[in-house]
Amino acid sequence: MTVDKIILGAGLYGLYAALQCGRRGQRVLVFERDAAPFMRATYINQARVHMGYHYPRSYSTAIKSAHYFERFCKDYGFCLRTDFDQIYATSAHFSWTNAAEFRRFCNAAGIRCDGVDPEKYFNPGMCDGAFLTTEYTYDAQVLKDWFLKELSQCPGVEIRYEHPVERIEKGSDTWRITAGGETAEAPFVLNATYAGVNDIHAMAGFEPFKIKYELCEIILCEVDKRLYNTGITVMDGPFFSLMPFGQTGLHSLTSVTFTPHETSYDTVATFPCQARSEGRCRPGSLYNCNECPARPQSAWPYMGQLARKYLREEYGFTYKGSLFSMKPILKASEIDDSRPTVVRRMSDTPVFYSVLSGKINTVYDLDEVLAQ
Amino acid sequence: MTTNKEKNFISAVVYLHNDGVRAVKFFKLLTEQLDAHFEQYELIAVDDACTDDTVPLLRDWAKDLTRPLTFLHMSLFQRLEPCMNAGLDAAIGDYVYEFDTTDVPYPADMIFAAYQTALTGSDIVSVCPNRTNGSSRLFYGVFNANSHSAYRLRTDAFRLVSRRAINRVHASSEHLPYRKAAYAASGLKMTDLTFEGRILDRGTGRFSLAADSLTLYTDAGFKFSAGITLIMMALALAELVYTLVIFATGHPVEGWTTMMFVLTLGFAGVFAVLAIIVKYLSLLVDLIFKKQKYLIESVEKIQK
Repeated sequence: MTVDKIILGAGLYGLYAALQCGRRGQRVLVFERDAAPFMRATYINQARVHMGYHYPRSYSTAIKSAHYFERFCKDYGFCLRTDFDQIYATSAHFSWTNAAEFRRFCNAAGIRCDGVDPEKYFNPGMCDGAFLTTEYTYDAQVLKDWFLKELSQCPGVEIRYEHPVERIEKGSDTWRITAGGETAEAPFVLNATYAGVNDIHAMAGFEPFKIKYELCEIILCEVDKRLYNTGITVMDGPFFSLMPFGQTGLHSLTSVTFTPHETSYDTVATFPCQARSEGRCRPGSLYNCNECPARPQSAWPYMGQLARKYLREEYGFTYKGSLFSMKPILKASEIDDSRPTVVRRMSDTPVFYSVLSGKINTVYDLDEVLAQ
Repeated sequence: MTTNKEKNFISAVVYLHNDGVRAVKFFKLLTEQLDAHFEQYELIAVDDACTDDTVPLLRDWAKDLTRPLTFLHMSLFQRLEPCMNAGLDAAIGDYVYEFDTTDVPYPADMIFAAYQTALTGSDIVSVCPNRTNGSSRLFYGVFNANSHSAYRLRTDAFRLVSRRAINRVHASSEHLPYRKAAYAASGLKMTDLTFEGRILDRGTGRFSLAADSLTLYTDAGFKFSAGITLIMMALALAELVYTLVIFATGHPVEGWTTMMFVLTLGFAGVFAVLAIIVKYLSLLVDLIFKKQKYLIESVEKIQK
């Protein structure tokens, strides 16, 4: 089978690319190793549509996020939850920023930042500043349904689920990819496999991205009435975030220290838990952590405790469940905590692009690539 | 899994400064105790610029640890109090153990005994030796005699504080120059447990800490300086009386009386002004340092 473009991975970036090309009448084949789209990072994250607040140490990331924020809200407003107060607070201790710096940063980035009394939300002395901001949360399931509906109108696009990539061969003007026993050829390949990006590179013989891997847990919580319409994010260091999770009515709880369970510094993700995955997962072929029998024990006792230390007693929340996923982090971004979207052209003829981004609203960075 | 272990989340903050092998031994003992009694806990090791192998040894030991161990590496040697403040800020527990030293002169089960005592209604539990050395006795003697706190301070090996107590002391002052005194002055219930033995000297820097603590948490500084000023003023006035007596009865050298008048009146005036300034200064310390003007231990309401 020969198509115009082969896309690896049916996450947001993969399906966005498929839809853009499908609408232009191109023939696109998407290979996805899970049984459905949006099963990993697109679904399992804080579900934050970034406005830039998160990156007080990286203006470039902040300004870019703010820039794409409006466009994303306009295009995908149907999957957002916007009716809540998003509070950003700066921790009084161990923070890499403080109230005055955060305010200055918001002004420079041109984003909303209205001061509120920290003691309204936090125990005394915990936070030196609290700010009401504009930031939304998206619902991956709603977004998925929309993409599937739109893609069903594009006859040229086919998605193959449970088709893990097995072999990648370079021809003179096409890539020949075998996945799930099926082989296809295309002059253009987009690798949008996120945590699997280096697995694909290893198969294609490309230089790997310099990333480390974190096995992350997102905790879903039921919250009291007082928190229902409030999202809380304490910056910028070993703190936590408790904010609405899309339109689910639940809140996601994450913390910088307890969300990552284990870290791998190897080129392809290598974790001790892979040995317990009953053959599903190995270095070079990542299984879905959320469905793995070897997924770690929840860090709820720690994350819950951390949030309780900060929040006033009247803001109650209880454990509902955990989601696990693998997160690749560019090694270069540790110091400034920036999250650049990396789109790298790995090969010219035939064309091979790899994309790596930790944010949903920078998906538009793909436009330039797809125009070719 | 159901266990009979305690459900409260415990943090243990441990101060380390070139403790070497002793640190590992201490952490082993500590985790044994905590594992036996608590379902959830975390360890926080405050590395006060250790220059020996304390940290690598501990890191090595912690490889197979199932509970979180956080190292706080201080930028430079800052001594006990600032380090423990940092540890306290990092701790997330409902109850926080503060181990100022890795020396263990007490029986290990005192660690859990402190928690049990806390559950009976004490927000602060100190575990103290029954023997102390002379300089400590002198300091605590002066401190307790001049402090308004309901509780007496003693030399202690470690203590356990509740989250409520931590929130309370932070509400009255952001930074705690001397934690123990802040807890004692928090107005919450404090209990001492005593064990047979003594603890090692805690080394340098204690004199300035003692001076700071006496100034901030007691009236000793004010009383002392106000007392001296008043005595000096009284002496100056006595001199004035003596001058008057000599002027009336004797035959002083010409000019002596005038000179003595100027000197004695002048000094009496200076000391009177100093007494007022000292009072103002102590008020200022009070206003800046203590944000909350009254302290309550609990509220009890009787209703029919």
